[in-house]
Amino acid sequence: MKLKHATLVLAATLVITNLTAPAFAGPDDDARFRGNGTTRNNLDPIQNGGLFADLPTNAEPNSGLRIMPPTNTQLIQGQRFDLRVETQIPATATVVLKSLTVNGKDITTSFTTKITSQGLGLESGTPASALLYGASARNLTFSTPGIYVVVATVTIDGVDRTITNTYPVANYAFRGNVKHVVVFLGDAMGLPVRTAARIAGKGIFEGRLKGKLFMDSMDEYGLVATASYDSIITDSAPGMANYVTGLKQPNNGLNVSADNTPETNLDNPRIETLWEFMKRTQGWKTGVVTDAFVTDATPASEAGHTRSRGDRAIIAQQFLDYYADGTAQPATGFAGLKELTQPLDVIMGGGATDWTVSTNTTLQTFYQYASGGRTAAQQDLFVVAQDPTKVAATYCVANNLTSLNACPSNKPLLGIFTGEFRTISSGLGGDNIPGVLDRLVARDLAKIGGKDATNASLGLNVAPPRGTGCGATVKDCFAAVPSKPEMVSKAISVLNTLAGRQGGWMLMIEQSQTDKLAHPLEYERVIYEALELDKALGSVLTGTANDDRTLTLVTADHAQPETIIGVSLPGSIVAGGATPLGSCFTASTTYPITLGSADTSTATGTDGGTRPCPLQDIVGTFNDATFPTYVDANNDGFPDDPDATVKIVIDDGGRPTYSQDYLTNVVPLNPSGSNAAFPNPARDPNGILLTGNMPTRNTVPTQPATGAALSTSSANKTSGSVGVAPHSGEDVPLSASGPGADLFAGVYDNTDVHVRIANALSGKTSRRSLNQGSRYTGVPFTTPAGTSLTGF
Amino acid sequence: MRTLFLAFAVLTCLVQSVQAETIYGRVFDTLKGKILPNTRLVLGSNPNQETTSDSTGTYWFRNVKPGPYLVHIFTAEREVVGRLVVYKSVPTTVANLDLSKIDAPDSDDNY
Repeated sequence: MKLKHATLVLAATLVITNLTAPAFAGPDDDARFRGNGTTRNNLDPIQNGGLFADLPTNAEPNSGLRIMPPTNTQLIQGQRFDLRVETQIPATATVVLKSLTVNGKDITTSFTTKITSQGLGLESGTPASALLYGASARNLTFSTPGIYVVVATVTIDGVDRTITNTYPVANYAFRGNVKHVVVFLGDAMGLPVRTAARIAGKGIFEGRLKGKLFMDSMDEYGLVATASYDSIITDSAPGMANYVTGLKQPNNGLNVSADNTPETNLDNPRIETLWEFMKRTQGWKTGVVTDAFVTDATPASEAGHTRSRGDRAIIAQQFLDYYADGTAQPATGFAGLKELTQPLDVIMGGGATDWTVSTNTTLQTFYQYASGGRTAAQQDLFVVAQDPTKVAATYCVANNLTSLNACPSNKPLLGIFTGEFRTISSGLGGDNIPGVLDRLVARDLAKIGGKDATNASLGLNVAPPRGTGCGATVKDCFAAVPSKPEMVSKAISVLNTLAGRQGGWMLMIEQSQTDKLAHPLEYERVIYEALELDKALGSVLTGTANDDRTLTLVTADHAQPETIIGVSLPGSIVAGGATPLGSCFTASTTYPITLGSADTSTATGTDGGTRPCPLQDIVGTFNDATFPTYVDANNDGFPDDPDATVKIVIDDGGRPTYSQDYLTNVVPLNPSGSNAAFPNPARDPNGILLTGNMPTRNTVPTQPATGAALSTSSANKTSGSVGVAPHSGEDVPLSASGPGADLFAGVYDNTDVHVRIANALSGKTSRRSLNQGSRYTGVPFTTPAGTSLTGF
Repeated sequence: MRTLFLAFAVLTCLVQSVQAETIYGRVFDTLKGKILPNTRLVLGSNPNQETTSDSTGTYWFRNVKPGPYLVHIFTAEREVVGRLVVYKSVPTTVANLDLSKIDAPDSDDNY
């Protein structure tokens, strides 16, 4: 009887497996649409049940068989990409590619021949295990727009397994009406940051705006969904890289897809960026400008290709298109990558440690690094960049405003500037150039809480810690760092000259510290960052972009959970008055507790005594928020002091525990102390304690014994955490001006920006032109011949 | 016909009650560019399941019921807790455990 029951169950299992197989066989995207483009069923991939644990993907469920790029990657006509077929679950014998078709044309032989000619290993992304299949045919293109269906079948342990991907390929035909593309990327510059910058920078009176930012006055506005391939919360790598490729990329990835060789970050299937595409196809000049270390995720998105954004020494070489065995970016094994990458013509930002060798004394005496730098084997890229035997065109290398201005405009430019190296500051890091507010103070254009650069607490009026290469004082060093408008002006001068009258160029300008200073909750400084971006934008819109041939975009890669909650009047607390500063939380380093009206301890006097934390009363919210009173007496576009009598209060929906006195910190400081549960004792010790609300990282000094309950684990939520604010997942605004600006109205995915830029370059100016009969942006509802896949 | 339908429904329930799946994946850290071999993994369930990744960072959990799980990864430095979902009727759930994704970034530079 038991046997019979088991048999019945087995039979039922088989039946159910067969019945349900289509629904669980991975989302067969192409099968979901009728010939007229309407949806055949409403089952999205995630509803079908996914293969991945928390990441349902389009893969065959028994083997993990998948094709790269991921299905629905939004390519443009002629864009290079790697076509990869791989399994994810080891078989018991060698896996064989049985067939590979494109719109019905069998390309199996072409594919395998290409793999053979490329060579196995790094060139083709060959897995270490023979029980996995994986092969990437490099640098293919679809030469005709339309919809392509790629079907791969592999034989695994005697059974054929099949998976299908669909690729929409948008029309692209360069028309020449757009000659310049400028993308301003305010990292994490969500809507609250734009609003706060407008209020602080332009003012508001009786509820009416006293002025608008340049970004408020552009031709069109859209909203962009920012999710990455594997998270609704993107980091800055796919956040930018998705914009310039059409490929949904995994967090930490730069212009590649994840693959089944996690031991090797440089062999992943790649995709060409718009920067590379325009240089290859039109000879356009290209550049990136940032205030972060220039190999950081956002600038690296234009020219880097690696699964790890942390490969900074490698990315620097890819910027120069410099491949050499023995260096961080070898030549052997990377012929396909070398064929793909293009050198940037303008590279500006911080992070000298990625460019020069540790033995170069300027790394210490000028850039003020205590350690770091490239090894001798990795070579000094400042030297490489000026060596005509190693780069296609030699660069002028600049390290401050004076040398930047001295560089000629007819040479490529590599400008690497000093960072926020003050040892009393912990909130930004020496790889990133000093924040706008701190540079303004260094140039005597602003004060912090009434303190100017001579105030000892700011740490500016002293000698730099490691030599006076960048100036006699920290103030001199900071003042010598070019502002964003100064960098942009030079960048455009170089690009215009190099491109000539008939040529074109693309430039990405990042304001990284709208993100980097928001992570440590330095919101007063974030406002200055947004204002500097806007000032640089103004110089483009009223100058370069005034030629009707420049498409200018302003957007963010993601937001942070910031919001404007009201205003504060920090000056209302008078030292020595009835409500003195302090006593807002216990000094305990074990369990800091906010003291407020609920406090019942007699020690703090709540039993009819003085109120323990007057800071709770200086914030006006909702009806009582009134208006800030920032002053810009020197008319430089920035408040003269962030600590106005009435100032904006920005709070955060995701934060560590920290203390807050509603005054601007004299230097950027991390909000957390030893971990995310405790405030930084050096930051606002008299402030009010604001309790953190994020899950924090675990540590386990001692592991529980094997088999023991996990509750005995010493995993906890209070040690080793990174105590900063996170990113958030809401849409971000995108503003556009110039020819094709209308294409950027609406709500769309970040990968759609790529296609919209390509349409603008193709002479399209109306959003209606994006509908070409299919559900995909700019893609005709046609099925081109499989021979349109070229590059074999 | 009605009898057949009821029988099918009962069989479906029986199948679901005994359904067990497999989890496969590798343990690695993309940002550090390394595989994590010989790493102890505990799948939080009742009772817990334990395994250790092999020399290539590969691990398997077998006979796992569909549903959401926490997976505890004991590296040399710390314990990291990841989250995964085992779906019904998917023979093998692929759950690569990339610490650079699961864990908080080591540095603000990785935001």
